[in-house]
Amino acid sequence: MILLCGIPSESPLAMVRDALEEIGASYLIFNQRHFANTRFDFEISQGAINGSIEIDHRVYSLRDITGVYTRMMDEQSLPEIKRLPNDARERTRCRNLHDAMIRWMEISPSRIVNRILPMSSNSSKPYQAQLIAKCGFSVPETLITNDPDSVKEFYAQHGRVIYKSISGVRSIVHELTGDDFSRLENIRWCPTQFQAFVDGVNVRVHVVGQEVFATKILSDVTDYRYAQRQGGESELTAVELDDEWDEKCVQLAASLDLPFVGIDLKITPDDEVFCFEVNPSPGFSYYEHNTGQPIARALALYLNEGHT
Amino acid sequence: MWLVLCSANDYSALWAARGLKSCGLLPLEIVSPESLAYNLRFDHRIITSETDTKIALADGRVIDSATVCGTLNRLQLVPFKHLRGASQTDRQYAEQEIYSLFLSWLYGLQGVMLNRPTPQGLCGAWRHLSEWVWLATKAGLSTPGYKQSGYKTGSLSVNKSNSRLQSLVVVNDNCFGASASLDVKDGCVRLSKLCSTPLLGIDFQVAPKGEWIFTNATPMPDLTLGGALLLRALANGLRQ
Repeated sequence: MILLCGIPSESPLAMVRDALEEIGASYLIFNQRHFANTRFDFEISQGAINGSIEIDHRVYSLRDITGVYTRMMDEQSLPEIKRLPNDARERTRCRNLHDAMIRWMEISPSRIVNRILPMSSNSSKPYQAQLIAKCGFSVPETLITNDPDSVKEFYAQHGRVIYKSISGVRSIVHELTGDDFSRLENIRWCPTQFQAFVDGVNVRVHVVGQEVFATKILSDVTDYRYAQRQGGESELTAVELDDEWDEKCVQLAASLDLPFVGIDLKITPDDEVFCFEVNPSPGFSYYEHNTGQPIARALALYLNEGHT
Repeated sequence: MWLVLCSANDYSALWAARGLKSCGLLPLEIVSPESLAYNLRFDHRIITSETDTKIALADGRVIDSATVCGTLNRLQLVPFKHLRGASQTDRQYAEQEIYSLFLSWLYGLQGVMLNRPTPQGLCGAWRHLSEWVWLATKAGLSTPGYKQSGYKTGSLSVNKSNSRLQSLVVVNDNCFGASASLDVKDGCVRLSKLCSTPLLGIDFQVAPKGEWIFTNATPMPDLTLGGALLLRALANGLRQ
């Protein structure tokens, strides 16, 4: 039995549910918005983890849950919760339910896509960059500083420089331009991350267990994820990577203890492979819709293999 | 240079710093989280797989990563009082950015570090009790039952009557503190390895019949529990 957690209409979750239907796997959905109809408990006793989940008056043993795909949103932002007072009983109940489920997922022997603890390497991009470099990928030369003079030197050294957030807060990547120098003093309050601009082709790689799906992105803006907002366009095409890089992508995901990831690469004209980031909860639907790559199916098969 | 990163009221780390100096770890600098956070200049570079960091502190000291041989890392939190004037949104953003910078700097810092940071804690992972209990079970320690549900937060089923509290400290595969059986000490070392935390404190309830039952663990133990033997192990560990 596969457990899907989140909002069922959200694209990635809906696509995995459809794929599970296609392969004939049995599944169960925990709709976060129906938390009031869900009961969950677990215990650690005598060297084993046991417990149950009850959804809409049907009870399932946690021992029968062999795989979990979780796309849960912050439960405190659920429409049913967010306007309630802080001490409302429903709010506490919702928080306790989510906490219990997450704690079980962290230690469960089932296939969990993905656990919270390994996902958090993405909370610091330069920290994650050091883990990425250990797996044989190039990482862009990076400066994080609160000293405007260091930025000026770095810019003079590299000519083209981008800046972006250090933490997991998603930010739009911008190129440093002449206008930015007038507000460079602001970084004294908050160190900022600058990187040498890397020229090349963007490739998003989704790794599912041992399977690799690479997508080439041609775009006329610095951050293709925001092409429309920035008045540009992006074109996505399925591509094959060399076996060596396929393998390195699989190794990178494994080293981070993440069975499903989205890896952002840039391949330079000299064929050097730079890795910018590993996304531990990739919204793969955008890529699958544009290329037809069967990512959801691969994920469904991976989850379903947990019961063997 | 050796570093002891600790707050001014971390008596345990300050005691260790004095002991490490007397073991010959010189020069040794005690650096507080406040002096790191309220720095004059923080330059952190990643070039290929190497990092290079220079932090100019307000008292004139410079922490240059190239000169660091080893670090006793007791940083828990980064102080953010200097951001008080910012709006709530900007302050929360800046706090996350600075914390992420500290994580990257500490992770890449040259030399031995007890403990390396993780995203779950700057001085090593702070884990949920359920995780500690599960890891301790896998390490072969006696553990109490643990229960959690959508209605009740997690709890241990420990009979505390007539039992006493004891704590042990692991430093690089050696266990210090109260006198415990070899089995218990070996279990503690296995737990330290399982959770990749070479400096680990482990708490027990000792039942009247002498059974040691795991109750919790921490990456920031009271080092004084291990006395001179622990200090020597710490010094040897930081010299490697």
